[in-house]
Amino acid sequence: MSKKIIALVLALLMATLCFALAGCKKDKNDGDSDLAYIKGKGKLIVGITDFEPMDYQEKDSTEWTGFDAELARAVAEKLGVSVEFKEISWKMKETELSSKNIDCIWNGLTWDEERAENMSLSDYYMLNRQVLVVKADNAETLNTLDALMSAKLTAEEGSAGEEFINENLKDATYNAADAQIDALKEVLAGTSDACIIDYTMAYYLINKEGSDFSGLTILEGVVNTEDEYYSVAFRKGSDATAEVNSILAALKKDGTVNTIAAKYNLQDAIVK
Amino acid sequence: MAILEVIDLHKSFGKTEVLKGISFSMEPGQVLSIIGSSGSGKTTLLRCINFLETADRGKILLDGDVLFDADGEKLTAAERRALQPKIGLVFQQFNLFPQYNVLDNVTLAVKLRAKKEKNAASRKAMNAEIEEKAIALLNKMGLGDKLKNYPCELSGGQQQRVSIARAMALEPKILFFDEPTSALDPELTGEILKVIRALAAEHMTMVIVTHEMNFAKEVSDHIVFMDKGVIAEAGPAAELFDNPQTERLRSFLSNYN
Amino acid sequence: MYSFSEVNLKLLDGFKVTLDLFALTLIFGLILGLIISFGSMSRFKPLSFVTKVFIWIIRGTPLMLQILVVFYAPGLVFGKPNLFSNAPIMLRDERFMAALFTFVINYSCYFSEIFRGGIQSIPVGQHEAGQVLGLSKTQTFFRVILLQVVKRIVPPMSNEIITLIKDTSLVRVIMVVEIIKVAEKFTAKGMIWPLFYTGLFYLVACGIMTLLFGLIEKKLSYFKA
Repeated sequence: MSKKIIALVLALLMATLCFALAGCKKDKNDGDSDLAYIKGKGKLIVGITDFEPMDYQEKDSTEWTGFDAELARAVAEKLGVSVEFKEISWKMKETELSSKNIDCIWNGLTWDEERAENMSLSDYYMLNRQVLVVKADNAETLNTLDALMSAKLTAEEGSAGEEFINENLKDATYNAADAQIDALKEVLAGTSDACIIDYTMAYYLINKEGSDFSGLTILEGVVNTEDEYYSVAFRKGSDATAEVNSILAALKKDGTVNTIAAKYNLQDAIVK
Repeated sequence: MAILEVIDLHKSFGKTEVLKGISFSMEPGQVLSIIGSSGSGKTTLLRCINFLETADRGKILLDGDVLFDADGEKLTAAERRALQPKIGLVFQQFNLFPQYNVLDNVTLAVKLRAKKEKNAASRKAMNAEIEEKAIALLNKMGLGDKLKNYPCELSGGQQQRVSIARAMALEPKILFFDEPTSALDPELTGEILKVIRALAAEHMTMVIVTHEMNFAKEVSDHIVFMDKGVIAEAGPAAELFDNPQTERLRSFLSNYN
Repeated sequence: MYSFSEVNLKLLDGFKVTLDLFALTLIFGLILGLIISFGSMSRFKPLSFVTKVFIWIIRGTPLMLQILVVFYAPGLVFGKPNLFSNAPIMLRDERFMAALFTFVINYSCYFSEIFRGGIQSIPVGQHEAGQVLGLSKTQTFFRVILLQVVKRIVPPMSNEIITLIKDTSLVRVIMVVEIIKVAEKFTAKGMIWPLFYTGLFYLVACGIMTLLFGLIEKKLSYFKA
């Protein structure tokens, strides 16, 4: 008797699974226009990480704020849809996009060719650059490329900082970090001597009041990388990108972008 | 009329034929011992009668009920369960339930049976009655002071007596013993012998598979000697031991003297 | 910056997620594990074969990978994201549901093997004794076998369950904000100590589980099985 029950339970499980998967297929045919898909939902799902001053929550608030968050809201308003912010794991950002868990990434994402191939990137909206960060104590000794040659270095895997190290500091000991924040942690812990990361994040974390990272310092003029820019990422081939580009241009023109940037002390970084 | 009748029973495991046509019968109140060397098929015979194995051919009748008939319809699980309490079985390894105390070991099956038949109101009275009977039974086995003990706290002989009480609690028509003393120290076999004698005095019908010739001789009315899957010799205990007819039995018995 | 008590409150929020995932995985995993163990012990060969292959796949691939597959595959393969947002029972959000689903499947396979080992280690004589006393198979299992199995599997089970508490930290790959993720967010705000401080929460939880299992072991020490 018990055998029959087990067989029945397993059969039910299988049937449920088949149903679930069959149900999945339905949605596929509306995939022609991503913009139509987003407007159809009436909601733009924005993938973010907790990253001051781009996307973050004030101490006692669950509302997302920051330059990127406010800009995303302004754009969504023009699109005629509401905004939902979803925290994602930065490592999984491409997968989050293509699996449609989110519609775009708006989180200080640096434009690069590889990303442009995998995702549909918007026009630049903000300047970024890579900077060298060391412990303040080492500011005097690690301020040349030669000195860095014999140091332990780190940068986010796949970032422009890593590229710089590969090209200009080949002989240095290099360990890739999972994320920019991890690179900073390495330097603070002394497991690496220096890291090369985004200026925005480094500046913010080092200068924030009471930050554990305040013992670190940015060394200007040692590492010179080409200018970088932040973009918004949509699904590969998405027609939403063009629409957002024109909205961004309009918002720049009417001064909205500048107003928001000024709130976060980022007006200098706006792409004119 | 015979209480147990086994007719031309055959049983094979794979290619090995263990029972090659066993026939015997016994009267109510009889004590029958089955002797024979290891591998002669004694235990398999017992297990076939107790539904622990299914025979290939033949027929088993118990007090008018058909326990097995290779040519008839197969019993359903429910039918088998209904017949099961009529046959009691005492295992070589006792197989007491370790998590229950002595009294609960004896009453568990009886209570579960009663539960089906009665509603909640009378169940309590019924359970009390069951326990009363079980305590009387255990007293008779000399275990009156061990009711609340767990099997692991008892000696082997005590455990075997509990398992006899557990089988008796269901009031079987016939009680089978599968080498009841082989797992015990020799000095403890006396305890079991005493219990079986007491049961015999109450005209309990019993079948005992045993390696202990003295034990078999003392307790049984009848002996069946099995050899290589057949009954080689059978007869009243005294005659068979004192005057074996076959060479096979003679050589078997000589190993024990 | 955040005060000590503010950090504690935030971490506690994350730890609630950790404990939810832990408790629900335990409940559903144990039930499903028992069912799967019957499947793997079935004498109906195709069923036991399929079950064993399933256990092999689940135990043979990293839990982290399974989490990623369960959460992302519906969107990637079938163009239907957030499969779990339509779950009949919604606890927290679809990310949590995907994580819970994966954990239940994964841990039930480990549990099932512990159950199987426990059930098969009970001497066949116990089943036979149940049968000759007229107990049904179900009665024999629940009245006779189960408690003996429980006694035997307490030590391996306690191991597995303590591992489960700590494995919950894996779900932050799909951004289920459990305690470690909360701590990592503090790091991103310039506070590093909360990350290391989370260890205390796990220690307390594991300590309670250890005491609990010790208690169960003691409770069941009155008999030998």
